Amino acid sequence: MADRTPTSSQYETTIDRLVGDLRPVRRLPPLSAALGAWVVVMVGVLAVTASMLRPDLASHAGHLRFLGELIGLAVATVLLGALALRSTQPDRTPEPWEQALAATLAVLAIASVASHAAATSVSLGQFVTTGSGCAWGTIGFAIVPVALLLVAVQRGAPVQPRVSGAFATGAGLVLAYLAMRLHCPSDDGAHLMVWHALPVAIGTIGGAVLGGRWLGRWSRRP
Amino acid sequence: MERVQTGDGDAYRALLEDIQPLIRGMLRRWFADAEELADAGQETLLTLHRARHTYDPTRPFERWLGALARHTAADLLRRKMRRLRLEVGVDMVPDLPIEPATGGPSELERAIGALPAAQRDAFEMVKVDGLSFEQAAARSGTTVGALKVRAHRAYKSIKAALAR
Repeated sequence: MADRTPTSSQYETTIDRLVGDLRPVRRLPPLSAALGAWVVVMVGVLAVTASMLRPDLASHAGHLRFLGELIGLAVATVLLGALALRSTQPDRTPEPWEQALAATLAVLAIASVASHAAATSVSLGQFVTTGSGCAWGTIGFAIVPVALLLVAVQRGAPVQPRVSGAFATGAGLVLAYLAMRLHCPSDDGAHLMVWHALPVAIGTIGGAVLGGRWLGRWSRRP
Repeated sequence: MERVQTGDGDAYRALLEDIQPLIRGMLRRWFADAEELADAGQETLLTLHRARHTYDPTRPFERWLGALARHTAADLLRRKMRRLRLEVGVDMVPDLPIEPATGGPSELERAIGALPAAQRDAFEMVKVDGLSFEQAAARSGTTVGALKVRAHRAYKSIKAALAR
């Protein structure tokens, strides 16, 4: 039973309008199903990468650091995707501590990339020529997963659209970074930082901006 | 809520009536003023309506509703802060040049005339006639939230037209 206050007539008008406007809706898929679909997308991207693996992959596969990096990237991709998908439901929005943890891991990842030794014998021309291809490669690998995640998030009701946008684009771009580590034979720290990690960072910031504009539209519909 | 998702109007009406005290209780933390509280309550109902497809029946309803109420409150407070900043910014209104009397409509009148009817009515009631959002909403038979949106869109269109 609703309590009667001076404002109850306003409520009644609003309720009448909302009931009149009610249509059946299709519920969001369960989070586990959405996450399963995201893992399928990940496998798809890595399957595409399998046809263009770096020639020295077999020798690198024995290095603990390289293996740890790949596993860390794969785990980060799943986690970021899960956080993005969770944010479609208002009551499952990533908590501040989860956001802080994601930011901390990102800083650690950048520090890890920066710790690779930089090649000293590469000219600036070479650096740019070989590197720009990797930046485009990162973008190419990321386009489909980022678009799919953004569309999935947009179907929900993200209450922190910037955060959702950052997680969705971040997940796709980290996946692309992983694919590029399997494809690009360079382990030069400067190359990895500028042409692999920087597009991920810039893209994630861009995703936050885009998210603020596009993913928050659901709450402004008249 | 599960029945609401299938389009059951009776269940929806019962739910919306039942949750009013709950919503008010949730929003009281942010809004002490009765009018603001009522406004926020209505906005929360609108938010619930827009987000009803995101409710997962396996999870507690109160938590979902609480997240929507928090989001609505944050959104309203943000808008209020922005409005207050703008009001401070135009505290000292500069003298505007008077348009020459040519007999034709002024730029402002033309911009208002070019608006869709619903937006024009909302703008005129609030900005010209000086009605409150509640009075204007009651007069046009819509909700406060919808009227605010119309008035805001009208304002943006006029601003864009005058800037050209």
